[in-house]
Amino acid sequence: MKILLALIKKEIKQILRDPSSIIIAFVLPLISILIYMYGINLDSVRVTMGIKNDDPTPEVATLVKSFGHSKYVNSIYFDNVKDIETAIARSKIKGAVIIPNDFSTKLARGQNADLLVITDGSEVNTANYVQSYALAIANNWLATSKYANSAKQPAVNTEVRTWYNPDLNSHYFIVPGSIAITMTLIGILLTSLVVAREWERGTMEAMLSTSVKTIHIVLGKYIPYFILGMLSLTFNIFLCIVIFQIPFRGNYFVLLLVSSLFLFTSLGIGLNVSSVLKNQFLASMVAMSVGFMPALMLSGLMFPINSMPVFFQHLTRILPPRYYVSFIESEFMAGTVPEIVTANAIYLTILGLILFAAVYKNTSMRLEKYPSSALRTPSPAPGDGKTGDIKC
Amino acid sequence: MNTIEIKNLTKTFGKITALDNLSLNIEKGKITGLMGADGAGKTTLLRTIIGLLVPDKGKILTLGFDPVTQKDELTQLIGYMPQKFGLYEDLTVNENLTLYADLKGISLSGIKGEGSILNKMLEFTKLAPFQDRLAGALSGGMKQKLGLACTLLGNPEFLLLDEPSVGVDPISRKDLMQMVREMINPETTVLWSTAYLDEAHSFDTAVVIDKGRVIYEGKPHDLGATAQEFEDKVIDLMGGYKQEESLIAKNYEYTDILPSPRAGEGGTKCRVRGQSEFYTVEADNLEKKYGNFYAVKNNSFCIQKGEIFGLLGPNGAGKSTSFKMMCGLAKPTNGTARIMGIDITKDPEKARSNLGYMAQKFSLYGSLTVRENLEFFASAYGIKFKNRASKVQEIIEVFGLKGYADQKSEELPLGLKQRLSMACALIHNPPVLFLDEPTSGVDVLTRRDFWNHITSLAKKGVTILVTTHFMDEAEYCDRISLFYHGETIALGTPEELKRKALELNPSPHPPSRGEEALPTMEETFITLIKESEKE
Repeated sequence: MKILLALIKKEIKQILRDPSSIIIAFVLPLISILIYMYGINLDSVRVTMGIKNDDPTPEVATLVKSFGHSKYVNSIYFDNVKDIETAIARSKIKGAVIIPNDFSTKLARGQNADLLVITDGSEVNTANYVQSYALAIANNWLATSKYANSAKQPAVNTEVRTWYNPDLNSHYFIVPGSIAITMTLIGILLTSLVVAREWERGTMEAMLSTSVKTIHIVLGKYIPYFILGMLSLTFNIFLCIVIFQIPFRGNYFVLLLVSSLFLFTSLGIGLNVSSVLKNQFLASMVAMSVGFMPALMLSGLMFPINSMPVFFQHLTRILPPRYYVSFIESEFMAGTVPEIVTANAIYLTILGLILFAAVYKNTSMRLEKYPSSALRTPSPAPGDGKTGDIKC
Repeated sequence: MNTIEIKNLTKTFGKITALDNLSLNIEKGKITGLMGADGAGKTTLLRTIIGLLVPDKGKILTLGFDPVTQKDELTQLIGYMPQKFGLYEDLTVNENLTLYADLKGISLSGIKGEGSILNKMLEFTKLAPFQDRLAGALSGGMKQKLGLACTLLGNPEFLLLDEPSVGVDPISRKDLMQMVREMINPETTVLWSTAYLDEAHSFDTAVVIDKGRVIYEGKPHDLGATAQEFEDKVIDLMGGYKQEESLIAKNYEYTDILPSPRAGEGGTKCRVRGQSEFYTVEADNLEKKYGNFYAVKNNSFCIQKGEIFGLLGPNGAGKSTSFKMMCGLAKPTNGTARIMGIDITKDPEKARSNLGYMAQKFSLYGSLTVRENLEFFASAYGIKFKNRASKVQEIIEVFGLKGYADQKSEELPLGLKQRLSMACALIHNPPVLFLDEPTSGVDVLTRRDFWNHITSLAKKGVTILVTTHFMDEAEYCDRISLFYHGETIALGTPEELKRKALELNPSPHPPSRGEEALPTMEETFITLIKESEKE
């Protein structure tokens, strides 16, 4: 017990004296939340469109005006098609609407009137916005114009209600989801360095020749970084809820509990990488690719898991971020849903325990790894000395 | 009773056999020196004895325990200091000591306060004034003392030290030795691996291993009465050193470069004396200041063509800083240096083209092969492409690297790495060679071979500036500048310095065999430094 306390105390001092761990725990979350808050936007955006009207009637002039009034569109008026072409080519406008000269005549006759919408296919997302904005503005205009009655009514009228996030504000799920990414960084990146560092600096060799036991080394790494991670988590939640006013409908206790389970799995991944590789540079590279990238891409935060190829859908099941992201999104927006909490908590606990056992197994008390059978019979068969990385 | 009993111990790493059917007994209560060339298996043996490595075959009993199955019981009784000391650089001196006390399960009561173990250790290591300094900010010698103090905590019955004095100046080495002798009780067994044979000569028992086998086990004095004789005998045991004509020197073509005109420069330090000789290397009042601290102060010397000039001094005396300024790697705050008459501050590139530099640490590309490293340095030094391949091939043959040409340089044994570093420094036939601690951590055989090349090159006219920690190596130098706290405290031939020390500290040895007994270089060094401290 005293040995464990000494190791924890030592680790905490090292954390406090190493500015990089403080930066990863507290500055990085701030930066990443700022980026997710202000930099990334999956919502509709304001686009600039060109308009050319060949039908100079007072009614159609109101349609042109309603393009100008829309809060989603900046409209620029053009007189000829050539100018529209150059403006799109130079990306001054993202698309254009051309009203043909028989537009009002056709509507007055009760025929289908045509409206040409040009979009810039090199930016597919924006092209979609241009198309749907133009259609929506035209339909709105039609409904209030004098042609409203002569136009055909659609057979089915859809009424859309968006639950949990009525404004469809993507920040409400991306910003909490970014907690998952920061927690992964703390759990995996920081810890991937710490065991490797002890090997590189030779402190591990000195420590192994004292009364230290495997469990001391393992817990001596888990506990301090768990504390650091929980502090960083609290800071993250504070930023989300108090500073950035993300609505939280769940339960704080449940949030902390499941987050701590997720942290436990992340620490497990980081410490495994570190104990196996024993080299800081390599460990941090591996940690980034097994920890950070899946948290970003395979967690369902950015890209829906359902739309992934089948292989990747299965792959997400063995990675902890999937469970945590699914939990944290529902906890923030829908409140505590017992089924979701229990299912994800159970998965995370199982993964965490498996990883803990692996760390324990990978933490060798010698400079090489030996199968336990070799230790009982002091003269193992030749040829099982697979490890050759220790220089004499 | 024996502390260690080893029978038919074999340990392999892949294809390499580190320990080969080795049997050895080590007596309780004795200090045993473990010697051997690099890669002889010293570290592997120490690690196996305490169970950090598991042998392939054979039996070990350490303090009556089997290190393979009873490692936990064993670790309570031993103190092991690995080569890298095992200090936490981001913890203070005090925190390191407290941590290791806790890890060794030493009761905390009585750890702090007057007369406690902790205070005793601090007092003893003279680290008390630095107890709140981070271990990473200590000098090399202090780190070693702290490492030893951590190892000595809990009065281990058996102390294992893996090359504790590598890269440490003679004064620190002496302190270290004294520490061990004073702190242990008569029952304690010490196994001390070392590359310094003078150190090993003073131990109770000497064990020499080579290629994983014991080739000598006995009293050091049985091998040689003096440290020098002992060294010669150990070298004989290790296969003997045959001094051959240095192919490196033979192959070297000295291109006589005429001194560049120094119109208007008139009185440099070296020229004032009115001598007509041309000085190939000149340091003219070199000075480096960091804030208020002088790392180097008023450093001047003039080296002639073909001279071996040694810079000696304790750790942190400013040797490396002087070196960096002389190569144009650091800008002097004041003063300048000239290489072949070219001012290093005015035209560093031209001055450097006359210079071959071998850095203290292995600074070649580890993942490149021997040939690739040579090719790179050949191009970096501006050897034309059409001549490059033949030049590289020639160097490979001359330096005896033929069998290793396509091996990665990080995989080479230390001695060959050293030779490759020298090959890279010499590839452009420079008239001046700078060597920064070229033999640190290198075994005695490799060192002799190395110095054979150096002295032969000097005879061909190469000017050599060298720093070293090995006092016996200082004897190879034509002149020595003794450096302390950033200043030159003595300059002259080895004999001049010895005479000076003799005047200050008359006759440590009674004259014998009719000749005047001069102090050894090491004694000279210590006397002169103590003298400068008085002032």
